[in-house]
Amino acid sequence: MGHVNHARYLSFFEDARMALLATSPSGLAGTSGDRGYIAARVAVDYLSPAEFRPGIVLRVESSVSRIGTSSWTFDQRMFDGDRPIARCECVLVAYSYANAKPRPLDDDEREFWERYLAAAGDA
Amino acid sequence: MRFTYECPVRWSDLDLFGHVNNARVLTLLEEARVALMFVGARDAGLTSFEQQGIVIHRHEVDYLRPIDYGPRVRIEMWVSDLRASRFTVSYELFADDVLASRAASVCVPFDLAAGRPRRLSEAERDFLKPWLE
Repeated sequence: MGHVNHARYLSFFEDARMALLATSPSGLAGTSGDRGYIAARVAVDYLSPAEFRPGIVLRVESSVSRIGTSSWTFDQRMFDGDRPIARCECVLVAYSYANAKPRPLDDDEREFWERYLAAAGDA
Repeated sequence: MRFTYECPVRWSDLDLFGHVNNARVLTLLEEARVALMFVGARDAGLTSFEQQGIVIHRHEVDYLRPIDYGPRVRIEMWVSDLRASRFTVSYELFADDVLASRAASVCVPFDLAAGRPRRLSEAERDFLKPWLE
């Protein structure tokens, strides 16, 4: 149909999340320490198709809508220029691979994500 | 009634953690949807989903367990909501017979030529109805 396949959007949103996670105290998952995380839920609303054209670059803006004891929720919006393309809600759970179960977020992780909390009324 | 589809897992569906990447789960689910709505519908003489078009309005996926590499997963799929101009497909994905993911896709029949949503045709409703649960 000439537009970007809907399943690929999840990878775009994931790439944007991973770029941010790489700068977070827990780092890219799978690196040193046991401060892993897993995706528990992803929901995507498709607003307008991204029509392919050479050189197209889609922009993803990511913020955090909720921080719990061991999980936190991303609110991500994708744009082609000014045109909204899709919106993604993603719940990540802090996870200990050593213990094979969820873990509470550490203080430095919580402080990091609090900086990305969307201001009230911004949602 | 549920439509069951056995979907092969490709090596490249795995990520750094050695299990199926969360975004790729949606691609496995898409294989099941295509098998019913394009291939199955075509076998039943219905080509309007393919030719007139259909778009995805929303996807939701809950990840319950990691999916390790294995030859295939089983996807059970049914229609959970059927309206005049949209319907919802629900899925359960099993790996080694254990429920690993639940998901839902809101599908909107689309008129690709006119570039706008359209209503389900009578034939499309008749095709989807037996799968309504």
